[in-house]
Amino acid sequence: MSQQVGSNILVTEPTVGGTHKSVMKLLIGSGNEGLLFVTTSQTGRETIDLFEDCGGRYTKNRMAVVDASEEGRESVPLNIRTVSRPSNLTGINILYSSLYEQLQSSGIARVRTGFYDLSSLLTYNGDVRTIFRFLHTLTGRIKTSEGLGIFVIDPETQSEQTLRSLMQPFDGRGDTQVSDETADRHPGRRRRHRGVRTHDQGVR
Amino acid sequence: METRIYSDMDRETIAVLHVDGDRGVREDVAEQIGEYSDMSVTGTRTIERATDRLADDPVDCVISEYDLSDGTAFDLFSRVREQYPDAACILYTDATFAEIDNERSEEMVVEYLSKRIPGTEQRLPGLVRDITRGRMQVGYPVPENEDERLDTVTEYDLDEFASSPAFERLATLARSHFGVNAVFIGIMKAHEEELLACRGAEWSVFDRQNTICTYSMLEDGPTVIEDVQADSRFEHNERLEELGIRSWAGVDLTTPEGTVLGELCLIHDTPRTYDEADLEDLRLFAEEVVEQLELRRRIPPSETTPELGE
Repeated sequence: MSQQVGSNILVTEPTVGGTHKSVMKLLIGSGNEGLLFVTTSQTGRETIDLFEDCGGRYTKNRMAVVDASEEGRESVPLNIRTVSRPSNLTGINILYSSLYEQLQSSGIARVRTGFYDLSSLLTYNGDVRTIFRFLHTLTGRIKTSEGLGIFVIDPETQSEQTLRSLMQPFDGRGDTQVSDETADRHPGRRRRHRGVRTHDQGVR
Repeated sequence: METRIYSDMDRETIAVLHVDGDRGVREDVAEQIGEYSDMSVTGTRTIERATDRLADDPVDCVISEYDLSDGTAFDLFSRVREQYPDAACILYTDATFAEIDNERSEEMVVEYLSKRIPGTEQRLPGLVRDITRGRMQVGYPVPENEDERLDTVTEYDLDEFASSPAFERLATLARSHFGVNAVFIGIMKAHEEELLACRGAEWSVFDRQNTICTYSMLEDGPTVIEDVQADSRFEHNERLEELGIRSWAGVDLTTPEGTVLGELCLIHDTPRTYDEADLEDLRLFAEEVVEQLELRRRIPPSETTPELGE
């Protein structure tokens, strides 16, 4: 994966039947890159387990997690830091910036960010003005520092019109839907996989 | 109605206000930022003094230590955002995450830079420029070509056009044709939407973050929000409710070169629908507005004829 400038991708994936695995695979970079997770719908520990299930190797000195799930615990060995709840955008943003700075100041030039997921954030934070301010701040930091951001959202929690508006801070959108097997368990869901489409950033 | 007057400084010089009780830090920051000709910085030590400055001069960016003698940076940033919603706020502080009361102000989205990490003061000017020029803290979506779009908007002498009765006549006709409470012709500037004409309400300017237009500009074709309070993007916007904007329909004012200057908007105080014929008529009204704008752009005011409504 080559990048000339930082890129931010919004990936839609249904919560029911979605595994986040295809998204996680995008975040497994080279050994000298940093990785920052922000989790609101699963704990930091669960996120690290998923990362390792997908073939990633968790390395504390180049990785960190902001856990805003309300159910997670701080972990010094795993570099997991907690924020009170998904509605606390101030806490998420400050902790994210702080950890990002720490990774960069330790000599890591490029940081990948995985955000699981925006649906929870939108559920707890009704004011779209605050959401845009939050998204611009995170995606702006990623873009100006030549990083990569993958943000997951459940499309069934938002209207298509709202999704189109939320797309604006992002460079591309990828849609992932559930597999045939899952669709059989959940009638009405169909299988469709699209590659991550970007505008012109050259990501995938 | 919003009454502040933004400067056009964001297009030229970035005006920075720095608040820190430590004079040495203020001097260091002034020195760092002072090296750049596209930024100006004013330093002060308390929220009270900073508030006075805000009343006197517009700001594009506020940098603050967390602990101040008369409150916290969040108290200051709240005041800044009330007055200048698009201003960038940077917490440049000795305080660690654990020392910041982040639960008291959960929606205070700011940039955070720790003084404890060596060399961060040298990063401040770049951060200020990235956030302000890159519109990294605004509370609304921004078109991809925003810089070019704003350049095009400046080609139209909107102050001159606003005094033209032609736009008021078009708004009057549209209001009568569609049977709505209000109609306005809005031009989207960097931080605000300025109304060239408005009929049915006493509106002249909106903060950009409180406009539906800044969303519809990103859509193709006319946009209809039948019930604003049923749309998740706007249901929590208390300003729209205060103004009685319950139903909204708008179409882009697009130049012949394809740049969107603003919107022609229909407002109603109850939910309502529009059929295809209505939307086609709305497009025609918008085309007429753009044609009037184009005529006035091409002809200097001194040469404008009575036929153009002067």
